Amino acid sequence: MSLIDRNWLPMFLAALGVALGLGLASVWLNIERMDLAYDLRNLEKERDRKSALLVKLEVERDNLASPHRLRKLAEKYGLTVATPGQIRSGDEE
Amino acid sequence: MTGKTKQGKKDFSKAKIILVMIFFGLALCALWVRAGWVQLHEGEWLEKMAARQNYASEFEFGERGRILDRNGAMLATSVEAQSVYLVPHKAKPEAGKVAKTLSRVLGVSNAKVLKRIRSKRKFVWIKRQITDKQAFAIKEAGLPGVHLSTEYTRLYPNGHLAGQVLGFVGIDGKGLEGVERRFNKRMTPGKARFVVQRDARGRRLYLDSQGREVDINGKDVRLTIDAHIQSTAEQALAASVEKFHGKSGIVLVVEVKSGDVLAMANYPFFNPNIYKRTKASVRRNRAATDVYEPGSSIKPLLLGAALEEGIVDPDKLYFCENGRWRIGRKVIKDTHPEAWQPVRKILRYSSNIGMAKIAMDLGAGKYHEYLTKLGFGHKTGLHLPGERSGILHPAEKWRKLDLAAISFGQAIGVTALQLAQSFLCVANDGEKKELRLILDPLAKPAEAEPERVFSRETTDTVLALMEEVVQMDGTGRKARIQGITVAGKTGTAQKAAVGGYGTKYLSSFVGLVPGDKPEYLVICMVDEPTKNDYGGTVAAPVVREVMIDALAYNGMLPDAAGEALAEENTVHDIDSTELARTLAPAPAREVGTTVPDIKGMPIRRALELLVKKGIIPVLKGDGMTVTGQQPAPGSPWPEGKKTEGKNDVFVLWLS
Repeated sequence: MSLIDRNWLPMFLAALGVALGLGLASVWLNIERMDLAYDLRNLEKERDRKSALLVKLEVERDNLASPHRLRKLAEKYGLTVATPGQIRSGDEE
Repeated sequence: MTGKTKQGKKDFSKAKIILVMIFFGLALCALWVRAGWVQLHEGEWLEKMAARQNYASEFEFGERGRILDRNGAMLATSVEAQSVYLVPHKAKPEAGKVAKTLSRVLGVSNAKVLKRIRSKRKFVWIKRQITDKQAFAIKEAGLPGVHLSTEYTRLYPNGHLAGQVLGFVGIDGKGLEGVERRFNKRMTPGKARFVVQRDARGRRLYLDSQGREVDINGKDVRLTIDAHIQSTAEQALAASVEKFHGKSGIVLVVEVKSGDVLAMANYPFFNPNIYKRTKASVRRNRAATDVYEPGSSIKPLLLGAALEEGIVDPDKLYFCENGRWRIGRKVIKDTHPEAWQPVRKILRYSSNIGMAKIAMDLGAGKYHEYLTKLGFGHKTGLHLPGERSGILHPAEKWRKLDLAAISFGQAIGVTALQLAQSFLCVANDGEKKELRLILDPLAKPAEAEPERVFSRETTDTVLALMEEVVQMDGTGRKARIQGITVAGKTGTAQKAAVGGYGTKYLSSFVGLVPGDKPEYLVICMVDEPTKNDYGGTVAAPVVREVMIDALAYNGMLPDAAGEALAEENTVHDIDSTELARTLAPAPAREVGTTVPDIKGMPIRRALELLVKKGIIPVLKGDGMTVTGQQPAPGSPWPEGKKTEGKNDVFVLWLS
């Protein structure tokens, strides 16, 4: 029996093992890829939701700090626009 | 093929095996053929079918660009909002429940929802751009055939602030008015199409970024408007229109240095968030769309033209016909009737007759030329939707009465923006400057040199005369600000009615601060005030309030030191020797054999001198100083004519 004939079975088994390993790795990678895609999708949804919320909060902030509202509040607390002579410049002695 | 068993029976096993082999062989062949058929013949089509099942084409829509003020404050933005739609055939089995819930949550009538459920269409909107609370309630209800779709809705966080300037967008996100309309193309978002993979449950998975890196958001627009000054202008305007029971009003604030429109206020206010509930008449930007006869506020422009052409000087006297002057069948009247008045007082007291005479001296052609150069009869460069070019008839068509009327702002139609642009030229040392409303995208700078309409001397004189209107006893006294000079001109224009001029007025005021070197130009117009119609009473205080706020906001309001200095200047800055000379008793003056030079003398001393010779002079004009005399100095004394009368033996012009 030649050397090749003697090593045939272990080599075949090794090749089969490698093929199986590669196949499993491929399946694992695909699963990971899908998981990543799901996570990515969820993160994107979360980001979009937060962006939308941020815009809404900005609108709310601008609404609360609108000059019209601040003026009304100022009137309520007795604050008015400075009249001539009421302002002191910072560089005054 | 058959053998015999030990018992002598026929053995069919071999035949059976062969039959099974043939059967399996045929079956295998059939499978191969089918596989071949599927692979080779139907392969392409099936591949497409599989792709349709596994991949989906998805669109992503960007956000509409925002509108910002000059400091970056948000004036308009888009936010996500849910819209409810219905798939009628899926909702039909539970029509009653669906209709009841939708009606309760959305405030839509039950009958209306039922009608839509009975529709044969595959898709019907129930309500678009609902609130987050409503969307949550719909989601919780889990109604069959009822779905939510995400859209963008336009929000204006400051409510009515600059509402007419901003305009609004329709339900489909298209700009329909104002800046929203003008820059619709720039602000409109794009859409990106990309392919996503779907899993068995139909969920979408992004496996690459193909098509998603494109910027699909609409671009922002930045205005020159300052939200704070805009708010001040709106509040001051609203207070005045309400106080004087006016119909509407406009305030414009312009920064002279740049030509930037800092505020463009319209009253009644318009809140673009609820545009559907507002009348079209309230939505329009009156500063650009409404054409008014400006009245006396246009007079400084005529004066500028006449000064530029050397027709008049501030002390030239005009006979103002004692307040009534008939031209043809019409009578022009003055509210301050006078006989003779110098040009400065014609402006200060807003004499229509004096102005008409100045216009006649200038001539229709020249006056028209100046008005055209100042931008009347043409749209301003702001390109606002619905902007009008006003009414300025060709000079050839002007009759004598038209020329007279146009001299005091009648028979000419202007928009508030045109008026602002013309006075911006006066404030800018006589060089034309375009108004600017948009900071970004920045308009291309004009290649040509700016046109010079007036010389610097002329504008200095016009501003000085306008200062007298406010700082002295003119019609604009209510625009005075302590510690800083204000130049201005009032306007009280009778409004045209059927068959002539009626009893309604447009009250206006054009103000510039500081008066000698203007930083801000403020224009106020109040349409049809009823309690009082004088521009000096209705519009001047609005301009004053806006000016004070703008100056304080930009740190330019005189501080305590500045104000004290201004007050000191009124008395203490006069040279002591000059003051002593002024207050000292008049030196005894010898009456010579010829007429002395009495120009520059106070009227009291001039009269003393003339009375010594038994002459009572005719006084022309109004004032305390002699600015002109007849006979000229050095002439012999008029003898034998000692009484005042038609002969005008000795005339003194005063100022």
